[in-house]
Amino acid sequence: MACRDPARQLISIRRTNDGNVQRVVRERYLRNDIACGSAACRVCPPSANVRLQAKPNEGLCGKFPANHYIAPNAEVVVNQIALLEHPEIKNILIFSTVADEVEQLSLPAFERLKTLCANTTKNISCFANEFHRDTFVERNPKESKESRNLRSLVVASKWYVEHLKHAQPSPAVLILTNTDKDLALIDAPAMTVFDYVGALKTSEPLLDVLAKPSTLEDLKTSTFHYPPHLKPSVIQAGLKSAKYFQGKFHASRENYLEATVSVEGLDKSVLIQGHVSLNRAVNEDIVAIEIFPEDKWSAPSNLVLEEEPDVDAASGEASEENEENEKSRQLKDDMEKKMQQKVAKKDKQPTGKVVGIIKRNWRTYCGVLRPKTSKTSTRYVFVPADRKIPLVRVETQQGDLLQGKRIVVAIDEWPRSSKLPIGHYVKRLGEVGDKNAENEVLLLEHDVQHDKFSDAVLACLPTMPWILTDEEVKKRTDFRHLAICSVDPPGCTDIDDALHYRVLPNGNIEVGVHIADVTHFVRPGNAMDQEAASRGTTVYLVDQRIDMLPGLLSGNLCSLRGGEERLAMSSVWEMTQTAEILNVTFSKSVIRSRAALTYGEAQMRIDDASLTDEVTVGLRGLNRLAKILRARRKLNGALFLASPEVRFNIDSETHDPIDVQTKELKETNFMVEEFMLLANISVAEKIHKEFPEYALLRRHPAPPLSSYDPVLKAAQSKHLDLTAKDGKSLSDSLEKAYIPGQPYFNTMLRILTTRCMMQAVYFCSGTVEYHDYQHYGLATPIYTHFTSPIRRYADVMVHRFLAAAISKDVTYPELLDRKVMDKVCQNINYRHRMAQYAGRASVSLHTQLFFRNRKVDEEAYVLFVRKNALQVLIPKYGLEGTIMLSAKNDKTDIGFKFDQEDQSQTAGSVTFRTFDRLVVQISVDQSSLQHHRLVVNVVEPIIPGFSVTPSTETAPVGAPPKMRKIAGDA
Amino acid sequence: MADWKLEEPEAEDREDDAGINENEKKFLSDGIIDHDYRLDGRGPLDYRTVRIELGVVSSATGSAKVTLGSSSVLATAKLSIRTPGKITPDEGLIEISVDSSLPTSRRDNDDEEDMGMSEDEVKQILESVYRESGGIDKRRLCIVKGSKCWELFFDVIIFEKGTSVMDAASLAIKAALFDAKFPNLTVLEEEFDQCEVEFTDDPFDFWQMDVTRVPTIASLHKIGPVFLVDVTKEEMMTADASVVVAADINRTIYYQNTECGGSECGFELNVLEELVETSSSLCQEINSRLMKLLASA
Repeated sequence: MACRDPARQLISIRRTNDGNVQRVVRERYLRNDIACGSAACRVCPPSANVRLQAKPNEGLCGKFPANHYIAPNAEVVVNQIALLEHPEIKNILIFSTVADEVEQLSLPAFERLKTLCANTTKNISCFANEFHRDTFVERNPKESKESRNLRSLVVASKWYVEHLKHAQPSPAVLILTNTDKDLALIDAPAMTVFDYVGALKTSEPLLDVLAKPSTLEDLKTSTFHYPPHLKPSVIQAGLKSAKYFQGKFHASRENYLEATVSVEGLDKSVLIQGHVSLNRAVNEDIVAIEIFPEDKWSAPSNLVLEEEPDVDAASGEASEENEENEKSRQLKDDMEKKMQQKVAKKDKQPTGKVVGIIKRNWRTYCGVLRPKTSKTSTRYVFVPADRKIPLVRVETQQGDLLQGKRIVVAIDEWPRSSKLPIGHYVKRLGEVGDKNAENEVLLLEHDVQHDKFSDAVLACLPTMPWILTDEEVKKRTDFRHLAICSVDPPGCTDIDDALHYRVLPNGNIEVGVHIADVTHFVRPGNAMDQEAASRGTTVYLVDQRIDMLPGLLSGNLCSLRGGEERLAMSSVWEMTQTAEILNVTFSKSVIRSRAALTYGEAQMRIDDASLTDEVTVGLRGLNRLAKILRARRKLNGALFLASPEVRFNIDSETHDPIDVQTKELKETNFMVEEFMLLANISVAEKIHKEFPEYALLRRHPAPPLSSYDPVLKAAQSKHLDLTAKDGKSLSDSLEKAYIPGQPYFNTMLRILTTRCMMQAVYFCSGTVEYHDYQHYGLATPIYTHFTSPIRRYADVMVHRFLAAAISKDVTYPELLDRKVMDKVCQNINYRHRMAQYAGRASVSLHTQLFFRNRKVDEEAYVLFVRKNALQVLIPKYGLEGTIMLSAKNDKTDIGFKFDQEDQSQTAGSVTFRTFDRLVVQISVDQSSLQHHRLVVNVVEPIIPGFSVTPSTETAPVGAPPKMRKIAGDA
Repeated sequence: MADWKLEEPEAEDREDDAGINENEKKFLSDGIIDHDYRLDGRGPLDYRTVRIELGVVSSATGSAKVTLGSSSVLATAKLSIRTPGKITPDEGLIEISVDSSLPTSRRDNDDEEDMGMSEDEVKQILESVYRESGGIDKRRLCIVKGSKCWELFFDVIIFEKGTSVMDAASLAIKAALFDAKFPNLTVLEEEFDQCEVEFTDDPFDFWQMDVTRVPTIASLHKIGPVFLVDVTKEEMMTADASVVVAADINRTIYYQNTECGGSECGFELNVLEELVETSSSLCQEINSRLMKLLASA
């Protein structure tokens, strides 16, 4: 029975933001009926929440053979959460004192602890000792909070032992601490976590999972590599007085000594250069910066610094001032000096330095270990896969085991005395080069949720067999009699669009686009909807697809398969013979697709004059209309751009590599694209009209004119005039820009133009002015995504708006909340971008696998000329590579001269400019076990001492993985 | 049907307990002048029972409730960390607010012969004693010269306004200051003329101010040649002059204000000297008794 003690008063003092001293007085009522949660207990009333085993951890620990529960203190939870998450660590007691303290110390750790406690399969129990009459500990006068908490931990653990003493066998409670400084104060069984884990008999050594206790080197060593960070209070004062600025730290992908910080309220982001100014900030951290006076401003160096020189921080042993380190420092200084060279005034941008870290945003990072230099050391340098993340110093006993493996590492700290951040090993993903391990890496690195769908999500699925009821049919328009068909890439299983065409009695044409009615199954707010909202999009990798919706929906119930009755959202237009739209109606419908065709099959039907069936006639009609629509779009100034990574890559829906030579886009591809665009535009207009404040739309802002400068300059060097004052003139001038004998030139130009474009984004219509709705690339004033609800969450939302607009569904509060919509948009934009990056990363991974053990000579074109490198495009493989011109080792440095104005690199008689053709040799650098990477070297023109000899191998048969060209923005 | 008539409510009898007639006044003053006896048997410089409760508001830095005769006053001290003024970089700040919890009808009744003083007057005198005249040494509220200081904020709430409300308020302030727990501070490194201070959340990590030399206020009334302290209402009606004096344990005077009960006569010099003598020694005694009491708390 619950029995309450009188309240205890808990007083603490805090300071409010405006300087007041506040005494916080709380009353706490104590209970005596809190269950202990142990299976060994005979006293507590039976409860469903018994997690701790009756015979816990028997003989698991060599140093503590008795049965025991472990009770980590807060420091252990914060620093060693990875250990607690390890499946072999069981029977954990978390006292509420500890949980409270963890919440104070580190929110991320607290979140992970909560997740851990929620996991019913893990033997972990939370005990509210702070609320139990026998374990509540009052703070003594002059006692620090820490020692009070420690005392409370001891009292609680003793209570447990006492409470369970009648159990057979009675378990002990072992307190785990992170350092040995507390051990003397604990008069109960206790051990440091290092001693404990060291003596564990687990299947793999867990010691590496532990984060090392923070080094006190700072005080001892005399050499600091970085200036100190300011105290939070000083930063706060500085931010108030506008002496410092707060912003997010974005490390440069190309140059590890450069970064930018985006400060709210400043137009330009602030440039940070050199390791002292960067001052231990890591990508995504929230930092405080000081902006230099204008005469010290600088410009981005245009240097490509790929990796720190090998010798640098060889083993990260900063305190040992060896010769190598000295050399590396000189090299580093050299680089920094080079970066500080005089820069033209117009290029200057605000420059500053990091003075303090406001919030670390460290996560765990994937990467590999660099082979160690000295045999005895257990220290390694970890090379993250993400180039924005600095190298990390890791200490591990299993170094040899981890060589050549993809591993995950967490950063623990970055003291001033250490050049590199210090981290620890978390887990192993697999062999470097192993496809599964590499896939795992790129999914983790791009924050792609790839777990299996949870039971809660699967519970939202309709029960099978699913039957179309008459009731449902009554609510919908019946299109089952129409000759509807779908056209998709071969092997496509998630068919979300289908089309029909027929001539009306009045001579006009009816065209219908039918999209899978996903929202019929995905109801707002349920677990499946939340999961889909969070995933945002289906992610296509070369050999894998990570679905947004469970397979039953994406591959079956929502897939408009041939011959099966399916629910759809239909958009039906009446047009004239010349594709002038007379009217459009939207409806929820039932359809039965006559045929699920591939692009090839559809094309064959169109071309085969002997076929006159309804479907084929429809296809011919659609094809004719599509050509008119396309021509009209071109006239309006729609851009038809190219980008190598999409153009030459794998068919994303079938995962089959398509041979480069035979890969060409058929008319039917354009046909489908054209009608999807039409549907998207019509729907956008409709939902914007009905929900002007909330509709989810997609816009593509026009880039600032200045961003075209590099392209215009490059074209001028070939004596071609491009105009970019609006989309139309750009489109027209691109159309004319051909150089005889260089068929690839126009494509290159389009690729370069694509690089100048802004990202298209989803937005909530109420948050943007109407004239900013425009989709620049498609040259339409309004646009949205409607046609792929199976693989994009944006389309799901649009379906909901449309259904509400035609009164076929109801709205719900979140749908009509601008803030919520804005959040949804931000998330899908982010997921969309990440999915693209992941897709590209997957392609480059497979390209690399493809070129392994090969050396191939290929034709290439210069895309960009950098200060110390050339970026080239290899059309055959749609590959982009970097040729370093001034390499680290002296023998290849033959003195290229960079001309900033001309954007050219000259060595002797050879000059490289944009668009220049050369022959390059592609190979994979496997010399070091760590990063396998694609290496591109010049073969032709021949530059003595720089170019390499032609390869004797012939080009490989087949082609590297490609991705299908995703038509514009459909 | 009978005539209906709206009747005026009868005026309340104003001859309440505060009003006394001339005979009563004579009786009262004779007793005091001739026999040194007050109606309730006290000597002229005797207070009625004084009750002091410390720490009544647990969420305040310091608090005390004082009941003196018919007056009841609560003082709470709160702390903030502020930047000192430019002219006095080494001094802290003191703010005092006075509020009354009396029902408004009783508070704002102008007709009523004022028993004591208005809240504004109380506030004015308290500020004058403790803030302006150095009743509380503001230099002791300095944390870092020119950068950080304490601001001490007294909230004085009058529950019952009797004749000695001024005396009660001053006792309450002194007791609340005695009770005040100043968190021990750590001053963080100074940079750019800016420094920051921190304190722990430990409620036991504090220091207390020595309040020995903080003055208290005594209000005296003169009936004939005799000075009375903590007068009753009747005595107040009878008194021909009154004085408010603030003095500390060393008889240093911080404040003095005289009032001659409506009559035109001022104090004569020798009376004034006597008054100062009497009041300062009274304050001295009150202070030493208060300190003894507080020390035993």
